Amino acid sequence: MVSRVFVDTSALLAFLDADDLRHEATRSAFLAVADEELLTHGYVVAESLAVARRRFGVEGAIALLADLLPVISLIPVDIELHSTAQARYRASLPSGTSLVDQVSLVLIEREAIDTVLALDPDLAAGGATVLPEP
Amino acid sequence: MIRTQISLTEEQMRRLRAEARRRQVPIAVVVREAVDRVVPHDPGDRQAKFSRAFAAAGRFRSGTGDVASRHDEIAGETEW
Repeated sequence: MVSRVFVDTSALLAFLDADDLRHEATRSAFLAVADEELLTHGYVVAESLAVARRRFGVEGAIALLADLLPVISLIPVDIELHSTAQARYRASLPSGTSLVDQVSLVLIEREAIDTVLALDPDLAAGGATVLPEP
Repeated sequence: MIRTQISLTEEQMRRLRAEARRRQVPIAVVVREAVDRVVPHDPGDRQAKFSRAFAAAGRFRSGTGDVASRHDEIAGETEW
């Protein structure tokens, strides 16, 4: 049975960046889950594009859009998902968990996703396995 | 895009128009989505997409190696 794997901003960026200390580990983790269904949401895409464009230039944004994102299914952030995440974000202040991460956490929980590609161990909060291993 | 001509029953066309109107998209969009559902992409297509994705691995050099770990901070420095 194909399992579902959530892909976070940090994994997308480490995958593209040859200088990232976790680049090889992230690349291997992507390879290990290539037969599974990869998922993310629109806020991760927006965040990844902003950072990629800032640090890797327009070509970085294009690589995300044309090469990497086509293998990842996009889950819409509906009003319920956004509102739940926003309430958690408000409740968590002044901690450092971003609204984008809160949306990811609610989505991971709601969709019972058990594997997460991320460099951020906070995304394991729902009991999901984080790859590459910290 | 490839243009093609198909014949539908009046009932099919009615449902198609209603769905396109409901979602405020062209009829062609609904037809393309229906085709993807009935005839999913073949595995070769998925493999081609993954090959392309893996070709992008390590294509960029940040020079700092901390873009992924500091992405929250960097996102705050730029336009979205």
